[in-house]
Amino acid sequence: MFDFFITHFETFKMGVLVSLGLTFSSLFLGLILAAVSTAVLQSRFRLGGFLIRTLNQFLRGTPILVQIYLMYYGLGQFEWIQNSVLWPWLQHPSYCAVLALALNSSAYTTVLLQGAVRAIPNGEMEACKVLGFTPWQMLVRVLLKRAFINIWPAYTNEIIMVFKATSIASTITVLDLMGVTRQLMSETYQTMDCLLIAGVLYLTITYLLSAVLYWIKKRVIVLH
Amino acid sequence: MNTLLAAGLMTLQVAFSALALGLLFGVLLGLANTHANPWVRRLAETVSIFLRGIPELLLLFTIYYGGNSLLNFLSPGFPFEISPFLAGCLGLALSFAGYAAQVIAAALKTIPRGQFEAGMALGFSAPQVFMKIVCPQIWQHALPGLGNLWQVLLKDTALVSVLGLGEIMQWAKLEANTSREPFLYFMLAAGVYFLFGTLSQIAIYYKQQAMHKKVSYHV
Repeated sequence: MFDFFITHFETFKMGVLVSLGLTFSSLFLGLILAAVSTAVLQSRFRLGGFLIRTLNQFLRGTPILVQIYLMYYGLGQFEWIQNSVLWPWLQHPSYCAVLALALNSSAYTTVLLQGAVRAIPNGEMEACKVLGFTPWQMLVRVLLKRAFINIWPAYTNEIIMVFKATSIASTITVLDLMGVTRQLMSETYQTMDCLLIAGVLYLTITYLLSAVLYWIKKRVIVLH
Repeated sequence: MNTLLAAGLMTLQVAFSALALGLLFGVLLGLANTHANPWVRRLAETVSIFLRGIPELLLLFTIYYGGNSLLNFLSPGFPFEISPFLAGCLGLALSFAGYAAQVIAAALKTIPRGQFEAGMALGFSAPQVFMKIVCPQIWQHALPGLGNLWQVLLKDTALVSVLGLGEIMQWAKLEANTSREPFLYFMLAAGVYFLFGTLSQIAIYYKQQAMHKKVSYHV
């Protein structure tokens, strides 16, 4: 099995890099979407809040596979999307996968952020206003920082879950680690070798990710 | 599986079978997690980490393609073959058990050890102590966690369609291909999953309320 890995090292490496790329792109986009959603939900914009709550219910209550299929196969059905300016991007499976995973992640992260924002005492925001902070400074230095530190333990779980979910992108022909494994399986017929190597790689990366996130927690989060 | 009804029934079959197996594995793993022997605990922890760290799709593929390949290799022409249904149930059950072990171990820790010793002193055998004394008590603590895991299991049954099983996603893909309206059919599939999830949530909520009433009588 080891020599199989050495022979196809480049292929597996590409797969791992694509998986990691998908993970971090989705997490980044998802975090931005979640921050926007939380802002809307906290504001007095009732219609926006209702829409976001409905969308989040849908995203949390349906399988990721359905969401990815909807994004990739489903959106292509509509003429107006094919003629729109986004079509060159939406055609590509990787962008669809990132979008779907980002939306899904944002649904769960919004819950976390809402809890964190509510946990910040009102007094802090009033003190900021009194001290003359600009809204931007208030947002970044106090609100976002406190909220992010609050959600970190739960967010590390989310990071690992998104990494595992990127394997589902292989069903729409994205060549992440899972996609590369399937391709090698059909090319070389050495199923057990491919699957075992993929399993070891996923476990190793999950373990390393957890270790890095734990280190971040100890050195950065706890100090604040 | 040419109707939504047949596909939905298949989904429920896979989900409930995986739940039954998953609870069995989860309880075994949870018991091992709280065992007196540290080596048993370490083994259980390793198994849990493995089952939680691997994507469900990969686990399903390993059991289906890997398992069939292994069976072929060991004895070509062997009549038994791992069907997508079996692979789906096993894979989903193992994934469920990886997380359920934590929930059940936490619930087990709330039972004082004295109850186990009292049970043994009264003449119960160890399995009897577990079934008649411990189990009814941990059920109430474990239900919220297990309820969440059930919802995740229900959604993960969609992955078994990738192995070719004729459940909801497979129905939706076929209909989408023939009718050129993928958005409609995938939305319908999403709706069915959402419906199952909501019904489960309602059922678990009422079960929790009923249990709460039952337990508080004895307080």
